[in-house]
Amino acid sequence: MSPETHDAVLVFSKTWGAVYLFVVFILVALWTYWPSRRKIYDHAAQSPLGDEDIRQ
Amino acid sequence: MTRIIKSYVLLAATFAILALGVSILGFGRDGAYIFHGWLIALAAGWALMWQLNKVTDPEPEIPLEYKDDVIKWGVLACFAWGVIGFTVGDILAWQLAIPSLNGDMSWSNFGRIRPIHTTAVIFGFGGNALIATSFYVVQRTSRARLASEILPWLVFGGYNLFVLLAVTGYPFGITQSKEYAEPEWYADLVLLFAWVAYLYLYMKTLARRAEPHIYVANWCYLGFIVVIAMLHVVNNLAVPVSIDVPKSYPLFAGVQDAMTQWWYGHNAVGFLLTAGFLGMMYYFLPKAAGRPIYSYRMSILGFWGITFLYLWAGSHHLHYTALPDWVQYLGMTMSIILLVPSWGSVFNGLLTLNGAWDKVRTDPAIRFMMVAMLFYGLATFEGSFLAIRPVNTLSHYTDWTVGHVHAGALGWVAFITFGAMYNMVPWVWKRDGVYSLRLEAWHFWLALGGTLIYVAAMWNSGITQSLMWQTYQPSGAFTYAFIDTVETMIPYYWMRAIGGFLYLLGALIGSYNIYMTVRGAHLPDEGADAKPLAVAAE
Amino acid sequence: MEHAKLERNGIAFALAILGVASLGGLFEIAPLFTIENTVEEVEGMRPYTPLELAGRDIYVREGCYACHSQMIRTLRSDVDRYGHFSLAAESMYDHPHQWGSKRTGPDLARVGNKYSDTWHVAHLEAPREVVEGSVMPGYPFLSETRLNTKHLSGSLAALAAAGVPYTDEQIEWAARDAERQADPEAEYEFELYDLYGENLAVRDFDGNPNEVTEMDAIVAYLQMLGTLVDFDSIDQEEIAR
Repeated sequence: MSPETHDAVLVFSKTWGAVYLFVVFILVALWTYWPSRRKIYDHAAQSPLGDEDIRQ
Repeated sequence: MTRIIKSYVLLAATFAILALGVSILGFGRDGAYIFHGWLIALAAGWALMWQLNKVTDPEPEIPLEYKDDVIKWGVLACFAWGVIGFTVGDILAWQLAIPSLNGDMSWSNFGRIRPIHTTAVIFGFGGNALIATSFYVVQRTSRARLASEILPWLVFGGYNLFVLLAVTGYPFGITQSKEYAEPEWYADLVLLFAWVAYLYLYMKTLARRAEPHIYVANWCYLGFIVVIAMLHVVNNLAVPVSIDVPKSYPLFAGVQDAMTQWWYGHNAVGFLLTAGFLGMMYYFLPKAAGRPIYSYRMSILGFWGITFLYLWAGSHHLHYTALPDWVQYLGMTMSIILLVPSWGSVFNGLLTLNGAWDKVRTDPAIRFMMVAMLFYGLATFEGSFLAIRPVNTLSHYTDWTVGHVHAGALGWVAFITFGAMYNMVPWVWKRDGVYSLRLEAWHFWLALGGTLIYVAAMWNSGITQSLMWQTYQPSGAFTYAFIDTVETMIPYYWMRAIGGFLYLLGALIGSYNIYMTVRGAHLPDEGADAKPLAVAAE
Repeated sequence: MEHAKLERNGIAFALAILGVASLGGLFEIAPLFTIENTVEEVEGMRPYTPLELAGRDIYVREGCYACHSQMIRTLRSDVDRYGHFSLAAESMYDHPHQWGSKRTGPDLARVGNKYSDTWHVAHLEAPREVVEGSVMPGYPFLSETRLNTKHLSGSLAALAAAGVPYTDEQIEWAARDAERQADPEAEYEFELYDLYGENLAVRDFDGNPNEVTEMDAIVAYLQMLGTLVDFDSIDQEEIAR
């Protein structure tokens, strides 16, 4: 890798890398907080509390 | 049919470990190394005979209940390694305060026994705590028994064999001197064997679950298992000199080795000491408080945030070094962003206690867990802060880093462990509650006092020494010679050793309390307050 | 059937963790192996001689990294106290690196030739007799232990397999060369120069001419630390990159 390519890659990752990370974060956050998924999480959160008998 | 194939794979793997042990004891040329060969061969030989006996047996009747016997051993190993690790740690602290305590013998010097402390605490105490609680949690949240009758024992036995090989090798100079990855190649292979078994067992047990969703605590434990596997393999790539000596040379050199090492080192913190123990928190804190986690969604975001960000942060250990600048800046940036998911977890934990604050007052186990969250918040804030380059010029190479690590290890890791253990021990041994709440409270206050003294001493000594290193006279010469800065440290070293002693004392009381609980000599001492833990699991 | 589906989810989940977690390493570590941008080209770097390597192995064995760094940062207070900041090239043959993370004692990256051999021997045997107030442990046993050179050929071969450019001749004669470098008469000085270049010290390091001890090796190692690169000849701009 020549120093010029190195610098170009650096600039690219500093700008578009940040945008990419931000977009991924938004997508993950949307996915997590999507209203229809609420039920799954509310149910899961009770997991340690309820009856803990073995089921097979 | 598949049962037979699985037995053969396992037998072959165990046989490979046995062959490793036999080769070492046969070809080895020095005492400690040959002793290690015997240890490996005996352990693997025993495991092999035990499995062979089972192969010919008819398919056993597996009881429809949780497999908790191995968890009990994990708890005992956790406390045993903990006491060893804390004791050696305090000896080291005294060696710095009173250097003649080194004894000037090869096996007793600071450099050789320091890794005994770090390995016994991180891998012995922390690792066994994680293995034991992860087995407990995965079964309860999946409503299923562990997926094998043999593997849990091999995981527990293989893992503790690794820790034993590590700590008995150091006094004899068997080390690769890579921080937190000191064990030589053959011990690394033993760990790899146990770890692959652990991962397989965990996945199989999850696959048996009766719930559609995998509970978040298991995400954390799984993250811990997967990432530690990756780190362990890459960081320990090495070329052994020959089978007659324990020595090997790491595959990478210089910059690459340094970056790989701190990618490993920082994420041993991130995934063993953080993700794994967060898993512990996500189960035992809601369970003990009797309330679900405050925000389940935040725990998911936090998990992925930590999993993604931590792996980038290792280079903040190498600020201003010969590592290329761009890697340093990237590490710094990611370390700062890392504060967001970390504090998300802190608030999630603390807010879970909303409505259960009365228990913090009456139940030392919950108090342990609450203070653990506070220390986790403190240590992660400090970590992000120290990763900022100008701040790092002040803290790096000094006791401040040592203080930071111990705020995390003593305050977060060990506190959450003690909190979880005081809950789990009565559950797995089916006792009414902990032997003595009063002793539990003593343990709590000694541990808290010890941690605060320790951390305060190290903050002061670190900042003082760094400032002295950087003080110039108007002429441009240094005001202090290096040895002046060493002499200034002595009072802080004393303070640290005393703080560590208090912590050790607390851990001894805690071990006694656990021992008495296990023995079942339950004394109902403090009236109604004595049984807040009686919410039995089954 | 239901079971198999759930199991697949578990595996996919573990793979997702592995994928997300490996990004950091892929982006930060993998590029470092494009050597030309990571490690400068400088004059003077050579692999360790067998005696120096034996000394380095002792340094590693005793866990010296727990209290001594070998990495001078680019900060003024580091450079003024310890010398020119460390270059990546200077640890290019270090398997493992010993950059360290703590300075309970001073940095050692350029300790070579700063003190006499006698000073090092006396200091290692009893640190507080030489430096009052030192908290370093003593290493008197190094002077009493004969250096084991039997495995040195194996060591050089292992390092060669890891990428250090040792020649077959160097590997074959490693044990002999280690003894020769500590020979008080320096009888085979020129043979060693032929093999390892002229920038190496041939003498009795521990003040005991009768045998080659571990003290000889560790002092030989300490005395060459940071002395290989000729800083007058290197291009400062190239390093600044």
